[in-house]
Amino acid sequence: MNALIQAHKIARELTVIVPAYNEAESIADTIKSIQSQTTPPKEIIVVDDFSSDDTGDIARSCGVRVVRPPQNTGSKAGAQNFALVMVTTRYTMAIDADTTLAPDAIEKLAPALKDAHIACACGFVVPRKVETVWERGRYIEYLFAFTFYKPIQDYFGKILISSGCFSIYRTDILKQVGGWPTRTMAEDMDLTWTFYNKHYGTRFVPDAVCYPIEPSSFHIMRKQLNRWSHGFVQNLMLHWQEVLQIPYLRMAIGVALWDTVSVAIAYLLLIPLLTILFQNPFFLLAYVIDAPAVFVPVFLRAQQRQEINQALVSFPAFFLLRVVNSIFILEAIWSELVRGKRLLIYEKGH
Amino acid sequence: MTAGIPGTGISVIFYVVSILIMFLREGLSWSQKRQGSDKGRILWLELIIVLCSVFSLWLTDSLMNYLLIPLADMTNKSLSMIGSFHLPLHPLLIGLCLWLMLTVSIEVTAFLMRRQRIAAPTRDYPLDISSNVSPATKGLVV
Repeated sequence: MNALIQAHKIARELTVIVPAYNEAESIADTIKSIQSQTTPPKEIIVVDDFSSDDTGDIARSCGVRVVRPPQNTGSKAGAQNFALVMVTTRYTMAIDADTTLAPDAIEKLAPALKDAHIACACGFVVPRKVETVWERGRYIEYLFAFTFYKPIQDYFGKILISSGCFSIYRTDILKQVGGWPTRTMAEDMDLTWTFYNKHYGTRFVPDAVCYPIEPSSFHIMRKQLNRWSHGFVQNLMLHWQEVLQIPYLRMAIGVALWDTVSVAIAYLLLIPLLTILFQNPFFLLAYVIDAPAVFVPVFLRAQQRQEINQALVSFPAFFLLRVVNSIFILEAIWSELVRGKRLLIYEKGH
Repeated sequence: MTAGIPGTGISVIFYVVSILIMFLREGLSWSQKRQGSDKGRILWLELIIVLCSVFSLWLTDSLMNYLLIPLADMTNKSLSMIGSFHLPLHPLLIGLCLWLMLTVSIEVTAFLMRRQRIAAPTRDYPLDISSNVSPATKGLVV
């Protein structure tokens, strides 16, 4: 009961910012899911980031405030910052224009901000559509990461990223750090690490669920993975000295970097090489050697969500996506660190 | 690890060690009769995950070494080499050693940096994509 009162109190002081560029197909669903929350926010601001479709008109017809910058801001963070100066409430929520919320998402997430040193809190992410191989791979990836890794990170008070698609922030702290950073391709990672550097905390609430639309084709997935991989490397380059001074975070990022490089090399070079060298297909089992360990948290969460069949059918796609991830992460390390060729153009891809 | 990063290998070992630390911490707070129901709930879920995962890995190991590889070995002798490597348990042990080495390296680097008192990095970053950003956004000074 206390948590519910707390949630109502925070929601009355909450402004939701929805950055949107050509999101005519999904913006209405997003707005409706916010409006139908058990603890609805005080205000919803849609940033129509110079869309060429009907995004702005559709949002306006839903009865929310729509603002439009004089030109495209160039990135999601840019659009969010455009609206941040208009926020007068104590809390600010970020949600992507292609993301819907479970009816009690804000109610569950908001109480996490009750401690004054908590700068932001994020929830559980589940793809809304699970049809193509890419959506299925991402579905398993999310079930695994948000069930196994993220609660541990939360226990130690150092979640790696407060997901940009659905997070609530303390407005004063958000403004104090200059809003959403536009320095890298992964503004959510940059912002989260910046909070840690300023000695603020973050929270992850698994019961607060959001449903983004994930890339359905390789064409869109390519853009997203390119952005995420480059964003990760860019944030490492930007924050490494600060991160080394933050006890749990430095190890979490250290092992992430190690795995990123070593596993990618194993998937892309070592395993195929050994298979060819020994003319033995059994080496290919290395691609799925950890399948039982991955399956356990996925199965537990899928069972809780009553999605066992969907998880079983989707499971093989995870291993394909993992190999594809490896290609992008190695390319990003090579481009950003070795060649010094930075990704500067924010290519939208969900 | 997180979406977009492969996140297998020694990160799993790191998180298993984290769970053990959680277990010790919660055990300590329980013995001191402190409240920790929320964290305790997370801990039990994580413990179940780890125990089930270890069991399933052991099962895979047995399946491969006593069933799959001997069967295939009839036609391909070189497989005995893979069988003797005890997949996936031996790689886990190797991973544990690698993780320990990595932990020591990171902690030593952090310690040396603290001692040398390296100045905080500049907030300017050559990458800055804000050049793409409209004047209205650039004007955000709060």
